[in-house]
Amino acid sequence: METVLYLVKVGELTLKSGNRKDFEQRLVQNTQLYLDDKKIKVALRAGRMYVEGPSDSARAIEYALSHLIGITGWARATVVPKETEAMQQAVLAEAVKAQKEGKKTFKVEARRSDKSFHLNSYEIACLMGEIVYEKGILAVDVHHPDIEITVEVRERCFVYGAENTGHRGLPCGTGGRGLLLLSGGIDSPVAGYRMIRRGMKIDCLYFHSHPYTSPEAQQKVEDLAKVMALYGLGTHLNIVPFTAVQQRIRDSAPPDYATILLRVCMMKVANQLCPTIGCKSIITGESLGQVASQTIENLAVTNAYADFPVLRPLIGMDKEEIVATAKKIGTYDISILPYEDCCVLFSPKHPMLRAVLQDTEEIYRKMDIDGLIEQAITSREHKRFGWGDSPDK
Amino acid sequence: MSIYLDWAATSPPDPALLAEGVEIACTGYGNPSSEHGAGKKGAALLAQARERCARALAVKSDTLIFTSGGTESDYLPMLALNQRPVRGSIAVSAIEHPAVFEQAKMMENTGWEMLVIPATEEGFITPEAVIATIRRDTAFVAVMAVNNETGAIQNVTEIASELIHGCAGRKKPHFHVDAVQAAGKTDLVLSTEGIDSAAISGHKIQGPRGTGLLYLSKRIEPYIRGGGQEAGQRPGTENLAGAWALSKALEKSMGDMNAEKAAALMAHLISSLALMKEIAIIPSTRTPSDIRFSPWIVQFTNTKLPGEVLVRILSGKDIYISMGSACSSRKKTRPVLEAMNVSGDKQQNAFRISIGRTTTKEDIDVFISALASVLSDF
Repeated sequence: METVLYLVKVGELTLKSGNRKDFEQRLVQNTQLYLDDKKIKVALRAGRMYVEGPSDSARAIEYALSHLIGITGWARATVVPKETEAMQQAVLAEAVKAQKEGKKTFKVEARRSDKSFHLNSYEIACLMGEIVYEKGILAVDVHHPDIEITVEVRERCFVYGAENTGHRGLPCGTGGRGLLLLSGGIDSPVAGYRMIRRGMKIDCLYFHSHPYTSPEAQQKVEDLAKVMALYGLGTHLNIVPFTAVQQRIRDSAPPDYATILLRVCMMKVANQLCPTIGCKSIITGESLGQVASQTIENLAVTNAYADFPVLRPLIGMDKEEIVATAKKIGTYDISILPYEDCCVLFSPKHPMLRAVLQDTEEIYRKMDIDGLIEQAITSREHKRFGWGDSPDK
Repeated sequence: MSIYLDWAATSPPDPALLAEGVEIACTGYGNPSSEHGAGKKGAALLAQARERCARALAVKSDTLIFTSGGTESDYLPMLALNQRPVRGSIAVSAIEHPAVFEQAKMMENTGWEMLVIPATEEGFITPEAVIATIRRDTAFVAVMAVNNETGAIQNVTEIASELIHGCAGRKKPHFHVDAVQAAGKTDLVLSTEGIDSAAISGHKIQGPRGTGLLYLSKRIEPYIRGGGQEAGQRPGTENLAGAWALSKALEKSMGDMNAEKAAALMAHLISSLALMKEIAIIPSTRTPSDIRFSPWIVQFTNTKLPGEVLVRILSGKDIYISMGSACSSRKKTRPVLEAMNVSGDKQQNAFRISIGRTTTKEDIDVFISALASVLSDF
């Protein structure tokens, strides 16, 4: 049977020393999880991961690699014997393909990890480039080529053209577990993605305020959680009803403190939830100064209520950068659906910009809200999504 | 049992009428344009349906064009303007349905200028406002017969007459009336001099979706071309099932409008809600038996909940009301209320009740008590 082979460049984990094996093992396992097919072989040797399977599995492998965290790039490679003529033919084929795609210039990049091969990298590059040049298929441009054709001489010889960019970072599952406060907005899914890229497994926490928020708003968050599951190899979505809590805040707190108190109550829920589901950190999509409730003073107040480290991967990013990532990972179009989440509800016209911890604490105590928070946690709904539940699968 | 109070969005179809339409379509399956017997039979049945509509609306049958619904009946006359050699302006009222308003905006892309006729704070378009808005180059004027959000009945007869007199000595603009919420529900004389076209929808009067009528006092130069059906005004093989069921629905609703019953229910609803301190009617001047408004539609606002939330809570109790136009419910703005200068908070908390032939006093009472309990709970 005809087979396809993908050559995958692993990322940051190559910088590891003592525990590098653990990272590598996790990367291979994650790849296998995506593929879930015994006919597809995944192996990691000398800084390269090889994914090889029957040719009808090409689509599945490409889908997996385009979502896999922990790799810097990948390409479908042609495997040829370590003979110059066969190698030249493969390079020629890549050049013809590139020409058909409208490319005009090329260069050959050669790597030789098998030092017993009779040509060195420079000689390989020259020999391979020569045939493309002689046949007049593409012009040489070693500085800014339209296409770079790579020849890697290892235990076998691999030839490939255009390379796909990977998501980089560390393999998911090597960085502990975090609880992501997921709203229906643009930011929180991006925050989740960025932590997944640091190797974290994430669970999600969503607060709904039915009937103030619509079933469509919850559906939207479920769809976002499915995208988190796609990159994070599965996730649990915890849905906590927060209507009573929000009403209590509305009825018994000064309006300008409503937003900060809502954040405090959310932290209280996260604090209780984390140990029960094995999470050791809380992740939020806050970005400094983006909205009134995200001033450093207000973040300090919410921090004071968190029992776990609060990770804010977007803290120094601006909206455009966040939007660009959201578009790249496929959450943007879901996030902009016009269904409001609970944060918008009862939000004051002029929220407190510089909350004071003592004042917050005093108002919080007076609200007598702990019972309602307990009740909300007890009524929590739970849904599990696998990576394959993604809307675009 | 659910309580349906959103008849202005659509009405529950009358199953007998739909069944009859389907049966007729199966009998007269021939293409009405075909020369053979089956085709002739189809054409004859279609002619009968048209004749029935004409009798119900008291107009000549050759003034009626079957269409796919209110929206198409609204845009066909507007698109026809693009056949004119010179461009000018189009004047539409500020309270028009998106089928007219949005289409008028699109016409700006084809060289026409859009003029908006302002509404009064009560949601009425006065003949004076129409005359003050139009210009010498105004080729088209649209004012709806009954507003779909407030139920305000527009004096289109007087507007038609003012247009004739106000434009003495020059070409009168084409006057189009969106009669979707009027047909079968309020008195409207389509054959009024000065009304050049009108739009009617089947599903608002318990007929089938995808059916409508365009009244044309005289033929227009059609913009959409095809097989020449419907006297060339609306090409496309005719929907006999739909046309037949529509004609029956129109006959039924025009024959027995039930307006008195509706007026009594509406008066009961308005006077009951007037006792709730959290509720206000829009416009505030509307009285329980105000004949300036359709007895089928009313708009309220409340001090507690956004209209969207109220709709959702009541839906949970199987009571179906709406925020306003179903056709613009995905948008956050309420252009009709905006045109009436209703404040932002009131707009956001506004909701519409629209009743129909089968609505009972019990339905209204269940709604009233559910609303009272929701307002006290939240």
